[in-house]
Amino acid sequence: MALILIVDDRATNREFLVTLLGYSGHRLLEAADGAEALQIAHAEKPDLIITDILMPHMDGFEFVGRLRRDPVISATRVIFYTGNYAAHESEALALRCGAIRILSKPCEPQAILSAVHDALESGGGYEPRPLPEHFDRDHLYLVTEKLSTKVSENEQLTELCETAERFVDDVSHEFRTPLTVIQGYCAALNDGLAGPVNSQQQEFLHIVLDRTRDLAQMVDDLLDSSKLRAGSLRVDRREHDVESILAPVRVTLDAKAMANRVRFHEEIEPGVPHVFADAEKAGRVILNLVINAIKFSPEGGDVTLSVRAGESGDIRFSVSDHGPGIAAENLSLIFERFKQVGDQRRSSTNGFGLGLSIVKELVALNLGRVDVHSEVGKGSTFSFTLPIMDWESILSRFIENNAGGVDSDNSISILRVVPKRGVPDDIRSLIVCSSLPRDLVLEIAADDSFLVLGLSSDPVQWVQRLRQPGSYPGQDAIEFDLETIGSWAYPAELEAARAVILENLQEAQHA
Amino acid sequence: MRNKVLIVDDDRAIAELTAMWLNNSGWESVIAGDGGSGLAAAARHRPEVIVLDIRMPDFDGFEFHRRLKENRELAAIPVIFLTANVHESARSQAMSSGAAAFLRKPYLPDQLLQTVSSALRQAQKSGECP
Repeated sequence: MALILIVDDRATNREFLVTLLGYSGHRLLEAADGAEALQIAHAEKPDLIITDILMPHMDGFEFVGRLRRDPVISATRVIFYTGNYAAHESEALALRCGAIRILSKPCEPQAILSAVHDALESGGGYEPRPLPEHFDRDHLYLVTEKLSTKVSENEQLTELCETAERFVDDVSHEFRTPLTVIQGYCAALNDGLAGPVNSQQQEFLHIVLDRTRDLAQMVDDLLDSSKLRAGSLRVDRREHDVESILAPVRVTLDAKAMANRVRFHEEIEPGVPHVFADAEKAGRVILNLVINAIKFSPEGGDVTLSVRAGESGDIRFSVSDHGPGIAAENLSLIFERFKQVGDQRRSSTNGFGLGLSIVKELVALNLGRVDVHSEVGKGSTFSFTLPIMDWESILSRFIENNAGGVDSDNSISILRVVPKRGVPDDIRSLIVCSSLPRDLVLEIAADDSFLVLGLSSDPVQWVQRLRQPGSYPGQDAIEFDLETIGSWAYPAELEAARAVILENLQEAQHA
Repeated sequence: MRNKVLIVDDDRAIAELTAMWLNNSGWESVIAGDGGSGLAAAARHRPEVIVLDIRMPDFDGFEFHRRLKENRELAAIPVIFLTANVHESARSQAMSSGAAAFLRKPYLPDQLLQTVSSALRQAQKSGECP
C-alpha cells in the first residue's frame, strides 16, 4: 500500500484514478493544480505522484520542475498521465525531469495499474539529481510551440467564420436575383403591363406576390441574423423624422395587410420630435413587428402602429393586434433565436422564428428597448423605443444599453479635449468619455454646441481619429490637448459620472 | 422628347423588367449586358440617367462608375446602383464614389421610378447653376 497524489485540473479524471487505485488498496490524495499539489506533496510526502501535463496556471513540467527543487520531496517518483502528450519534444522533456513513465489518455486500467506497480517496485525510488541545464529553456520552447499552434488554429477559425459570413452574403445575393425577377414580373402582370388581367388572375398574382415578399423578408432575416451573430452589422445613426423611417416600409405593410385581409392603421402623434437612429434598421423592426401582428390577426382584424413621445427622451413605437395573445410563461421565450411558441404557430408559413430575436438586437443597436404586453384571447402589443435627437438622452441610453460595459475594465473616464491654437473660436471645448461609436460622436460634434462625447477604452487613439482631416465638419484637421476630468467605476458610479458629464456640457454650452 | 435611361445589367430578365417599368412611365430605355458595352452605349446615347448593376462579367459596377467619371463628357450623368449585393460596404463605396442613389434588389417599382426621377431632377438642378 502506498500514498499516491493525483494532480489533474479535471475532477472526473482525478475521480477515475482515485477509484481505480483505491480498489488496489492505495491511499489517494488529490490536487486540482500545480500550486496545490506542491503544498500537499511537501506536507504528505507521497510515494508517487501521477500528474496531468496541460493544466491552467502551472503545467505538469513546471510543477515537476519545482518539485525537484524542493529538497524535502525532490526524490518523489512521478508518472505523467496526459491526453495532450504526443510530441517527441515533450517526451524528452518528461524524461529529463525524471518521470518514470508517460501514460497517454485514455489508457487501459490494467496498464495504469501495472505502471503504478512498476513505479512503486522500482528499487529505492528516484535518485534525486539537479535538473538538466536547459530544462527551463526547453520547457519554455515547448510551451511557445504549443501556443503558436493554438494561435494558428485560432487564425484558421477566424478565417472559417469569415468564410461562413461571406457565404451567407453570397447566398443572399443568389436568392435576391431570382426573387427580383419573380416579384418584378408578377408585379408587372398585376399592373396590366402585359395586357388586361381578370379578377381571378389578379387574386392569384396577389398570393404569389405576398409569398414572394415573405421569402424576401426571410432572406433579409437570415442575413441580419448572421451579421448580428458575427457583430458585423454596421449602424448608421443620424437624425431622422418619424416619417422618413415609416415611408420606405409603408408600401410593404399596406400590401401585406391587404393580402391577409387585415386593416392596418397608423396613429402618429402630431409634432413628435426627431429621433436619433439608423432609419433602415428601425424600418426593419417596424416591418417585422407589423407583419407578425398581421400574421396573427384574424381576418378582418385591426393592427395599429402608434408613434408617440415616450416618458424620458424617447419616442415609443407600438404595434397592437387582436390576435390570440401570448401566455405569460412564454413571453420570455419569444425573443430567442429560432423560437416559436407552440400554440402561436398557426400555420406552416411563419418563417424561421428569427424575427423577434432580430428585432431585439436591432432595437438595441438603435439604443432603444423592446417591450411586450399580451393577454391570451385579447391580443398583443409589441413596442420599442428610439432616443430623441438630444445628446443628453442619447448619452443616457448609450450608457444604459451598455450596462456591463463595452470596456473590459468597466470604467468611464471623461477627458476634456482642448483645441490648440489656430482653431476657430467657436470650437471651444470637447469632451470625450470612454466607446461611444464614432458616428454618434461626429453627430454630436456637428451640433451647435461643438461638443464631442465619446465612450472609449482608449480616448487617446480616439482623439487621434478626430485629428484626421475631415473628421470635423469644415475643418482639415484639428489639434487637441487632452485634459483628464475624472474616472469612475462603471456602473457603480454611473450617477456621479453622468452628473459631471452634464455639468461640463452645460458649462461648455454657456461659455 | 422622352428622357433616356441606360440600364447596365448582365441579367437580361432584370434589365428588361427595369426597362419595362421605366418605359411605362415615359422613359426611353437602352440596355447593355456588360460594363464594356455599357460604356459604349453611354457615349453613343448620352442617357440622362444610368441604372447600374455591380456584379458583371467583364468588370464590376464600381469600375464602370470610375471609368465613367474619368470621361469628362459622361462624368455628370447621375448613376443609380441597383444590386443584389448586400455588403454594407457596397453601399458606402457606391455613395462615396459619387453615386446618385443605391437601390437593393428586389426593388419596388415605385421606389425605382421615384429614385430615377429624383436623380434626374437633381442633375438638372445642378446643371442649371454650376
